[in-house]
Amino acid sequence: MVSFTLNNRQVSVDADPRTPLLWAIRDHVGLTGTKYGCGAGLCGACTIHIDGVAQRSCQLDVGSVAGKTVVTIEGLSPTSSHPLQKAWVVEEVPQCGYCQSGQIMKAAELLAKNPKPSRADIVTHMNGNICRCGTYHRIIAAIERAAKEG
Amino acid sequence: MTMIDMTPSRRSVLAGLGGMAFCIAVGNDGVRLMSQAQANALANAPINPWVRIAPDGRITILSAGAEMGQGSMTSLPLIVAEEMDADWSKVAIEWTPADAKVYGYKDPFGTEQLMWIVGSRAVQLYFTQLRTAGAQVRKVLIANAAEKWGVDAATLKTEPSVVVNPANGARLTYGEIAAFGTIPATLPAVDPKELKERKDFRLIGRSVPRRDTPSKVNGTAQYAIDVKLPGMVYASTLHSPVHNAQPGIWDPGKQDQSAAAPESWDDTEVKAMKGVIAVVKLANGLAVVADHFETAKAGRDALKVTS
Repeated sequence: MVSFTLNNRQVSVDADPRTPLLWAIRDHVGLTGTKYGCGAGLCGACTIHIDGVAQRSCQLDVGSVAGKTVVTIEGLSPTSSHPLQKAWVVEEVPQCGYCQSGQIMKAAELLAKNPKPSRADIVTHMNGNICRCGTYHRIIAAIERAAKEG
Repeated sequence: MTMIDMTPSRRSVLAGLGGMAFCIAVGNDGVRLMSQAQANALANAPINPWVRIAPDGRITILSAGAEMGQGSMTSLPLIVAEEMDADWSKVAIEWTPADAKVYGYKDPFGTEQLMWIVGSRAVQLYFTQLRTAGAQVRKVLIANAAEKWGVDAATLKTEPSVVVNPANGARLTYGEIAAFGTIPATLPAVDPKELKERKDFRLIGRSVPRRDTPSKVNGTAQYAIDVKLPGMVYASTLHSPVHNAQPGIWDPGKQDQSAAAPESWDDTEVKAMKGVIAVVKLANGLAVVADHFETAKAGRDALKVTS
């Protein structure tokens, strides 16, 4: 049994502590917004926040987050009104959308520590979150919009 | 005419809808609307309402296009809405069931109906069928307004979700018509010449936001991997690390022989793992079935194949 804070509520997961956090969240808790892409830490589809830091949940054991604060795409904003979510809609970023939960969580980490990033800051920070549809230009535009409109 | 079985639940849902429901029946010629009376007259008729108009003005249109990021779920109902002259802001989209005999387009290269969404087919091949369906709905709405006002239907026009009488400015919204209107037993035919001219399009050719976007920024979009069913278990498969591993056989005509199952393996440790349900030999590998995905994957990784 592993207990941690997930999206502002206490959860206890009855799983082997070595279970990847991704599957604890998706399968045991039932929050499926966080996606399984490669399972090897290469794509970023499973990106979540642990104590405010963007991490790849497929590469962490659930046991390692005991007592910590985990936020997934479902917990970013209770009303889908985070500036990034609004900007993602305006810029119509997603195509298939499979990577976008991870993209948004990665971008949210950036804006939390650097509210007015340059384009270069954005490109550098987002490097490694892969989108097979190729929505990168819209991702950058949406982050710029979110930074501007707050 | 090809028909599908109708479940009692769908029949009762339909009966409770209120408003106007334009059903769909399909032969081998693609999507075709029909009245509920026509649908009811056919045993086991597929009375799935393709277009529903509620008295409060809400319009529900089914979409047969699998959404893979290309916008089909938005663009197909939009074609119906264009010819209906529906107020797009009042249109809700629902999925059709995956049944090509009812919801498919006619294969231009064959005789079957297909729901393949590939190679930009969806808009091309549903286009005329969906426009015709939308135009039929509009004709029925106009006919109901004409009858209520006692005027010639040909003198009436439509604005988004409103039938208008230019002679006296009278207006009836589609929702108001749905509250009293009837659908004739035989839906009116639509001549291709009666479809809108391109210059009159209000929706087609414009940039219309996709309807799937909001669900893709908050984690609610459902992908196949997100589906949960009662009693569902998980499997992870182990395949040969090299292609064409079947010893002594290479028959290009039999694709299922391009990979083989192992001949011997040790799964003692795997079967002892908590949560593992079974180890199954497949035609082209092994599968570990378990209560959770990570258990199945851990079991797969622990298999010891000896030959």
